[in-house]
Amino acid sequence: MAFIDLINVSYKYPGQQRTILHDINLSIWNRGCTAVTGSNGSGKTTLSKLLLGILTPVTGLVKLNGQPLTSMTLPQIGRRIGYVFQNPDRQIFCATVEEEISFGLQNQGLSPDQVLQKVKAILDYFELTRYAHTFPLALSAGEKRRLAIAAVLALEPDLLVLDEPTAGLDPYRKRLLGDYLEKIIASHKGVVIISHDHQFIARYATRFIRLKNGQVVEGQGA
Amino acid sequence: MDAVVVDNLCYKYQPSGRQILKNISFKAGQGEIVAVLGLSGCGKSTLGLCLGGIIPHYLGGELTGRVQVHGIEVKDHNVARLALEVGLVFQDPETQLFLPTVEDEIAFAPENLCLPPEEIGKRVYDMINMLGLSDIRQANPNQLSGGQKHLVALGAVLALEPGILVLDEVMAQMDSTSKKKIKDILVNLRLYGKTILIIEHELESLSIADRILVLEDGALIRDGQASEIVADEEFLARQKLMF
Amino acid sequence: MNKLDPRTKIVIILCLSTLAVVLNSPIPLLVLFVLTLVILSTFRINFIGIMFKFKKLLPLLLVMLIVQSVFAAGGETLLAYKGINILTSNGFNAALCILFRMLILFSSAMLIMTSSSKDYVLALVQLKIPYEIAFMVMVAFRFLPVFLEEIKDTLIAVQLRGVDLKRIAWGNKVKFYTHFFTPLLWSVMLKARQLAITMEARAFRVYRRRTYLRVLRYSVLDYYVMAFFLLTTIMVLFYVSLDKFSPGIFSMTDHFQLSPGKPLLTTVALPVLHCQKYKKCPDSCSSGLIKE
Repeated sequence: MAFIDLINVSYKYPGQQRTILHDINLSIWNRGCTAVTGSNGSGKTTLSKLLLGILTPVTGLVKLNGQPLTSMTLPQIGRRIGYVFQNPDRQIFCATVEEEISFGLQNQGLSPDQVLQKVKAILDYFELTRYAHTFPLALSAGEKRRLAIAAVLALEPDLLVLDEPTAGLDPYRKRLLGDYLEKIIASHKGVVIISHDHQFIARYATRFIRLKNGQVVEGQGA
Repeated sequence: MDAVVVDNLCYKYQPSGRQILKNISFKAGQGEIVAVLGLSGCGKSTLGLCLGGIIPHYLGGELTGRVQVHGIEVKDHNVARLALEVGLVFQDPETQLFLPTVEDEIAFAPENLCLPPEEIGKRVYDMINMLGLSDIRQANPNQLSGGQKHLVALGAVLALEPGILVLDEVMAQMDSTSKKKIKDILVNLRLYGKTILIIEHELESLSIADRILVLEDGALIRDGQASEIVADEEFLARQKLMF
Repeated sequence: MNKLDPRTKIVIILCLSTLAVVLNSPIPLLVLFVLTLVILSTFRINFIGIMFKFKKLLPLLLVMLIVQSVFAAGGETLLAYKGINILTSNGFNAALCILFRMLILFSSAMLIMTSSSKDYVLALVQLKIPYEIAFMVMVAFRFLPVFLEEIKDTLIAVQLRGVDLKRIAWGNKVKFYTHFFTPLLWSVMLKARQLAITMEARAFRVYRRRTYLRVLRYSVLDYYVMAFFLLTTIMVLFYVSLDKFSPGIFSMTDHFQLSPGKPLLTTVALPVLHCQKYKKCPDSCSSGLIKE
C-alpha cells in the first residue's frame, strides 16, 4: 500500500462532455520527488486536486494510507498533504505575511513560543523577513508565490503537492526552492511537482509522470 | 530621436521608504529590442510602469528625473494619452482581459480611438492573423491558458499601434512552443520599427534581444550588447541569474 | 428568437417584471409565470434545472406564509392558536403570490443570458447611457463568477491549513469570517485598480466619445415583439387600475427590492473612478487618431 492510491479514477467537470482523466491507476509514495508533466489542458491541475480530495472522482477511489479520502475532512487531509495552488493569490488570506505563516501552525496546537520560532526560521529561509508585517497581497507576484509555498511548508506535511511552483520565480529563488525541496525529501517526505519547467524538474525529480489524452504514462526523464 | 529616454530616474513609493529605482539612465532607439534583466524585487517591473505612466499617475510615490517616450514627458500626460505611444502587457494574465470574447478584447482599444467600424474591423483582422488567434476568436478569454491570455493581451495592446512595447514577464508562464511563437512575433515587430522592452528574469527568453540592461536592487549595473552579457557567465552567476 | 436585439430583450424583461409586481393575486400570476416559461422555451433556454434550485427557498416561503397570516387581516381562518390566526386564506394567497413573483422575476432575467454582455454595452450606449456606466455594468457581470471561484478556492486553502469550517462554533465562525473579509475586500480593490489601469492603458476615455466595431439594428421582428409586449402590458395595467384583477389583497411589492452586494458595487465603481479626466474630444471623432 502506497501513501496515496488512485484506483480506476475517472474525472470530468460537471456540465462538460470531455472526460479529462480516464481510468487512472497510480500510486504515490511519501518519498522522493515525482514530477507530473503534460501539455496545457491535459488535466495536471485536476489530478492534483483529486489527490487532495478537493475534487471527488466521478468513478473510482482515492485512498490516503488505505483510507478513502471521501471519509476524511479537508483539515484532516491538510495535516498529511500540503497543497500550493497554481495562483498563489487564492491561498493568501491573512492580514500580514507573518500571520499567513503562523495561521496553520496555530491550528496545529503548537505553543506560541514554538510558533514564533518556526515562523522566524521560515521567514529567514525564504527571505521574507523584511516583509513580515506587510500586507501579503501587496507583494510582487514572485514574493507571493514564495509566501504561499512557505506557509504550506511550515506545516511539515508528509507529502507536498505543488502546482506550477516555479512560475514567476527568478533563477535564484528557483534554486532556493529546489534546495529546500531536497531538504524535505532528505527528511523522508514526498514531493509532487506539477510543472512544464523542464530545467527545474530535470534537476530535482526522481520519478516522471506524463499525462496524455487523460492517461498516465510513466517516463524515465523530463 | 530616441524612442525612449530615461534620465536620472529615481523612485520611491513613500517619501521615507526604500528607493526602488536609483539614478537610472538609458536610451532606446527605434527598432531596438532591449531586455531588462534582474532578480524579482530589483525594480524592473517598476521601470516598466514608469514608461507607461502608471507611475506616478496611478500608484503615486515620489518620482524624480526624466522619462520620455517619443519626446513626450510621461509626468505631464495621462495614461490614456501615453497608451497611444507605449503598449504595456502586464505580468498577471487574469486581470488584463475583461471582455466576453477575444475579438471584443482586441477591438476595445481601437474603439476608444473613435475609429470608423471598418478600420476597427481591419485592425482586429490583422491582429488575429498575426498572432494566430483565429481558432479562439469567439472564445471567452477566461477559459484560455495563461500563455494564450498573454497573446490576446498583446494583440489588444498592439491594436493601438503604439511605437513602443513593454512586456512584463510575459513568457514566464508559457510552454516552449508558445515562447517560440511570441519570439517570432517580436522579431517581426522589430522589422516594423517598434521599440520593444522585454522585462524578464530568465536568460532563455532573451535570445532575441539586441541589448540587455541588468538591474540590481534598483540600480542599473550593466548596459551592453546582449551577446556579450549572455556570454559572461561569471557575471551572471555572480548576479545569481543562472539556474 | 435568440437573434432579437438586446434592447428588445430588455423591454420583454421590463414588461414581465412590471406585470409580476403589479398583479397581486395567485391565478393571474400563475398565468403570467406559465407565459414566461413559454417565452423562455421559444428562446431555447433550459429552465428546468434552475427551477429546482428554488427548493432552497421553500423554508423562507413557509415563514412568509405564517407572517402574512398573522399580520395581514381578513380572509378565512384555517388554523388558529389562542386567538391568533396562524394560517389564513389571505396569508396563503400572499405566500403564493411571493412564490410566483420570484419565479417570474428570476426566470425572465434568464433572457439576459441569451446575448453576449458586450451586446448589452452596445444596447445601453445606443439607449444614450454614458459608455463608462455601460462598461461598469459589464465588467461586474464578467468578474462575478471569477470572484466566486476565487472565494471557493480560498476557503479550501483555509480548511487545508487546519480550520474545520463545518465544525467550528458559531461565535468563532463569525470571528473567522470577519478576519477573512478584510483581505478579501483588499484583493477585490487591488483587482479593481489593476483593471482600471489595464483599461486606461488601452486608451479608455481618451475621448469623450467612442465608436464600436458592431452597431445594433432593430429588425422587423424586433418591432413586432416590442409592440406586442408593450401593448399587452399597458392593457393589463389599465385593467388592473380598474380593479378587475385585484381582489384587494395586501400588496407586497416592497419585499422585492433587490440590492446588489457592497463589494460588487465597489468593484464596479472603482475602475471608472480611477480613470482620469477626459481629454477634449476631437471635432470629428471619425478622423482617426489625433495627437496633441
